[in-house]
Amino acid sequence: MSVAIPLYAFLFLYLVFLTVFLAFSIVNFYHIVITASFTLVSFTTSFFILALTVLTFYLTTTFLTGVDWQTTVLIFDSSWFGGPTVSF
Amino acid sequence: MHLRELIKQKSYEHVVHEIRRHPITFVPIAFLFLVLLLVPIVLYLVLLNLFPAVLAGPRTYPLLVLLASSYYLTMYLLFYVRFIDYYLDIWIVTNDRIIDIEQHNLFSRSITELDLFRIQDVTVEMHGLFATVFNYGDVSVKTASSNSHIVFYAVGYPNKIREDLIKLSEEDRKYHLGIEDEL
Repeated sequence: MSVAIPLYAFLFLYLVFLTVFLAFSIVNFYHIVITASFTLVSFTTSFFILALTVLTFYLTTTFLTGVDWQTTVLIFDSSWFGGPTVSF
Repeated sequence: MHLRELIKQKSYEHVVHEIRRHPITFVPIAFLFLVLLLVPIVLYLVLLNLFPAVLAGPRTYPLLVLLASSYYLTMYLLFYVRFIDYYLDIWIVTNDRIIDIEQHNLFSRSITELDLFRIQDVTVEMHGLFATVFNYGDVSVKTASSNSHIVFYAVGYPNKIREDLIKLSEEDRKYHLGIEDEL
């Protein structure tokens, strides 16, 4: 028995991760605002993080251009544990 | 939000000090994250030299890119959380009280207040080479009550803060004694 999933399933997982990342980033920024700590230092750090995030997104999309997301990935195969199956 | 709203500033009150931890205390954290950002680059060079086929595979290549991207975003987020933890610890000294706002983690914060005229003892502790060179340390503020105790952790110019606290405390005590005498 073998289980294979298309590559785009990992892209969906990545999108779920991005949602969590975005939520936590907003919570962080919200903390800065509500604690009266929105100064030049906190603005610079927030801007730096935002710039790095945008750069990472840009590089990720650049590197992933042309990938065939329909390609299947084998995630489980019984032969990995029991050796090759012998059919009679 | 402005500071005066955060501390609910009274009409006769003015902020004397707004103190945060010394920036040098954040340098080791920043350095650690810089090293962690280099990890995928080192791994990429190792794979490129030992297993170049992995980087060219139609399945492994996109998976590695997504993994590296997730790793970097996680590092940025953790760095931001650590910065919040560092930057949102703030001690506000007014001519009437001390307000200690401490950010313990992303969803945990405590606010403590202490009246200046109740101060009994102010202690400065500076430990280590860096604390001596960069002039930072802990300032401990104690009152007669055993449960009222505020510590300004790793703040710059601790001796100046101690002197100012003693001076402000004396002025506030005189003011409160004056009110009591009038009554």
